[in-house]
Amino acid sequence: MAPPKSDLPQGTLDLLILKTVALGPVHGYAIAQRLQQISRDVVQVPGGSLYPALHRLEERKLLAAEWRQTETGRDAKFYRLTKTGRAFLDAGSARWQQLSETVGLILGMAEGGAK
Amino acid sequence: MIFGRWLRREEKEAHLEKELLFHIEERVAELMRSGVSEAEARRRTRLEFGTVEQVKDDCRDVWTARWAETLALDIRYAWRNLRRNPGFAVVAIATLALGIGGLTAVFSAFDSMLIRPLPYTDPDRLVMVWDDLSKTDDRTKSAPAPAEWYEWRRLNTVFSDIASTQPTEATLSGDGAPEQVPARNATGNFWSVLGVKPLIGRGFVEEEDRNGARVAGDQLRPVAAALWRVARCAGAEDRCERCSL
Repeated sequence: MAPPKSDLPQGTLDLLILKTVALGPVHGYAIAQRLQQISRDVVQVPGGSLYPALHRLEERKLLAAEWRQTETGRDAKFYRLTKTGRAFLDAGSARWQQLSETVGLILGMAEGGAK
Repeated sequence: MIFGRWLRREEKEAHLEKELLFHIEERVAELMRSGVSEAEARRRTRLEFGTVEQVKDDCRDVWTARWAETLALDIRYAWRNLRRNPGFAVVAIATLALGIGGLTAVFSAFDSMLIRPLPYTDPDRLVMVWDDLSKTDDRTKSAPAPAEWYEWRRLNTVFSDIASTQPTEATLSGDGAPEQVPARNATGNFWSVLGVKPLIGRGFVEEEDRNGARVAGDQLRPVAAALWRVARCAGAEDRCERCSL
């Protein structure tokens, strides 16, 4: 069965990317792979979403990039989290956590007649 | 080396291409390791990833948007600072205004003197010729005497024609008080050498040079009157009709 295609809420992809990069410098392809693996194939990011997002985060100085060789000896652009990026990620995660708990609380209300 | 905003556009483009191709090649390699043929791996990668050109376009949009955003921020920041320091603002604006104004003035002069062609027919074939009196006098640029002009013209093998003109003064008299006006003596072929026609009236012809048996200097005078009329009275013909020099 094909995994359901993900429609990520606005701004969520940025957070997921920042979190992935926070684990250590990584290139675009590895980011896409990790997101897919960790989400058990739910999150599949096409290039047209991933790279504009990476470049936007880089332009905003949330990510920094440098060219390095991979283990297989190929040149790749590696991204790492900046200080600003770290602060943005922490604030964003906290906000997301709070929102999802609140929404979960409301959606999880027991239904049934009043006692 | 950190890659930042200073990267030039072409370098940015090259890096973008390299980055996207790396992604695609890695994906194709991985699919092939799992036992898929290269053609199939490329087909699947294209489906997942999208076309390289489309992705590039989306990234360029990000750059442009960011550039516009930064520009707007910079302008707002500059505006706020100028508002907060009116003294500095005045000095900055005055400096700019003076600089731009001065430069414009200098350039206008430079443009009309050196860049724009003179308003005559074939301005690039027009030259100024002077007497060089440096051996006997201080002057290296002196207008020739009328007799000299006749000789130059007679012996000339280089130019189509030679005209001569000298500054003078004339008295303008008419209905009002007589007036001293700047004028120029010019030879009869003056108009044809420049290749222009007066706005009103007519130019003068060679025969007017030889009008009567007067001395050379005096003979040029009627010419100056007509020239003055053209220069000074364009648009005021009615006043001039009653004037004489």
